[in-house]
Amino acid sequence: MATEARTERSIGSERVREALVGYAFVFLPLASFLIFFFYPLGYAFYISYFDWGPLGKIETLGLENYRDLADDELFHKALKNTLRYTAVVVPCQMALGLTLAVVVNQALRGRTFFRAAFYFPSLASSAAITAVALYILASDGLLNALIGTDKAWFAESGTALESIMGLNIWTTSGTMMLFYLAALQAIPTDVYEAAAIDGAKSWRTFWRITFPLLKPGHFFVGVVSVIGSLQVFDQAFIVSGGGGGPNYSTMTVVLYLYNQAINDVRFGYAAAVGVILFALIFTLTVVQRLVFGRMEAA
Amino acid sequence: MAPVTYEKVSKLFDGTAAVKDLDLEIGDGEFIVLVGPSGCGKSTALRMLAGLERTTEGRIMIGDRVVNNVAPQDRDVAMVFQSYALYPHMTVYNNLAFGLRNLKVPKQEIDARVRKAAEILDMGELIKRKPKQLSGGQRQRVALGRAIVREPKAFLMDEPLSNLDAKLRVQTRAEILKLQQRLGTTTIYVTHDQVEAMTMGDRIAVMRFGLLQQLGTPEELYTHPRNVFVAGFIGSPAMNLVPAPLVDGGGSNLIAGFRPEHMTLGDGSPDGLRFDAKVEVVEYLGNDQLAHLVKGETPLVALLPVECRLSMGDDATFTVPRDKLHLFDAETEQVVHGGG
Repeated sequence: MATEARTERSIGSERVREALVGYAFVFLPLASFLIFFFYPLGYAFYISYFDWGPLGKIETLGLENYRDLADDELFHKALKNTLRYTAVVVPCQMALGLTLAVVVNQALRGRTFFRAAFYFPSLASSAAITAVALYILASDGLLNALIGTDKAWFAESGTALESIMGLNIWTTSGTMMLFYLAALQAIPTDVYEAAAIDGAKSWRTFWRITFPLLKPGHFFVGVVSVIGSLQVFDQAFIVSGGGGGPNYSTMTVVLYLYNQAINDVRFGYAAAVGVILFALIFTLTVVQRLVFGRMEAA
Repeated sequence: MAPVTYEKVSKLFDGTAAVKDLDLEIGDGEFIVLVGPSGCGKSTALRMLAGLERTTEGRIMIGDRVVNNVAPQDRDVAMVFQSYALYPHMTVYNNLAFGLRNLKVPKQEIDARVRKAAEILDMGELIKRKPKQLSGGQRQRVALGRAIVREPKAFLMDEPLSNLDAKLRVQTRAEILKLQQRLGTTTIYVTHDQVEAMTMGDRIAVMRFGLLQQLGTPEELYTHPRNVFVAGFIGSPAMNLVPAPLVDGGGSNLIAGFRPEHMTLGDGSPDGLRFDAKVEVVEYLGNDQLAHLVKGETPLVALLPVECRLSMGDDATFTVPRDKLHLFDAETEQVVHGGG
């Protein structure tokens, strides 16, 4: 009995030792994660309960910032723009990324070139691309010259946000392609061979075999795309000069947050905007996980 | 059902021949096994028939139709893969029904055929499960079901038993044979396991380095191997192949071959080959024992009744009847004198 108890104790201490070694290995990345992610997150939650200026706490407001946000029409406009942007950009990014991935996954001559070419916009700085796009989409720009109009795409409220959508769909398509390409290459070849022998033509193979088997890829790309879209900022900032114009048509949640924090020096209020955005992203990610999990089980 | 013909079929991969000048006529309803070691071209030959690889030369016919340029989906063959290649996101029912839906078979008929196949393979209770919820043996049955439900002209099977454990392999081997006899569908079966080939095939095609070495019934291959490779590959334990002078079987330009079960302990028949060898290891098999011997530095194996008392280190005399002796040309490795 005594021997058994001793053996159990030694197994227990061995496990603790193993666990400690494991924690030692992840200590540094974990520490940086806690310092640079969890601490700012917690701090944002904290200051959102205050009127917070450049020198720190001014006044305790409790939920006042959140109540003000509920009545803030410009915030509502920013939220609406961001959601509209997300609703259009996410499916388009996914569809374009998947299409490009399927194309460059074929045994085509020069496919390495096409993979690099399609990925290239993702490597370029979005600020630089947006600056170039400002010229191309100007009233006397290349696009108008090609289609024979004189529309100032970024300067009209009816087309400004849509132009940013188009720009972003194009620039991120390479990254989405890369994610989908990895997912496509994880599908075993023999499943396709079985489908071919089973009489499936290419279109049917795509919809019945490839598309459902890409489910983990859809989830990953979907989550990344939703998060990226809800955080859209730089293109809107550059196009509108930071004002979210014309007529607030390019005002997004993060741009609004930036303006509140940097221009109006309302850190507490801006933090409350950040918390709402965090809750939105978190909720949508959980919903996506549930939906894909249910599809998996079905 | 249809006959299948390979006419002078070759396949090159970047200039390397995987299959060379393969001529093979497979009769309607016949069960033929392509057997050989890894890289011998057997799977390539099967995949060319399925349409998964293009032929470099020659032509393949299913029935009267040349299928070289016909897409896999239009060849009307069904294939069972080594990995089973089931559709992981579909239930067993949908795995079986997928091919029929592609052929636009009416829904009621699909249902009837799927249920019949499930019944034949005794997997009615599995019909709503997905592949990941099945054991290896069950997946194998689904893969077979997917093939039979199509009622194709030919079944192509690429090492379908390789992923099963030994017991299940023997059981499934018998099931496949029963199924093929019941359906009478032309079957081309690829394996590297000569026991599988011997027990299943109406005829066996032995391949090596992309070349057909010999085509014949299991008995023909066993009793009349055409060359040293077939002699050594077919039969378990393998045929003893030794320089002929070592056992007084012939000149130095010959290789003598004799099967372990044709060796007897002692002087035996007066006109037999008689030679001494040292016992190295004895493996007890129940009915028989397998004696690993050495003559000079040449290893030999004898399959003897358990009654023969042999121990490690014994020097003993063994006899092989002359009519069981195979002689091969040492240079060409082709048979010059066949066994009885």
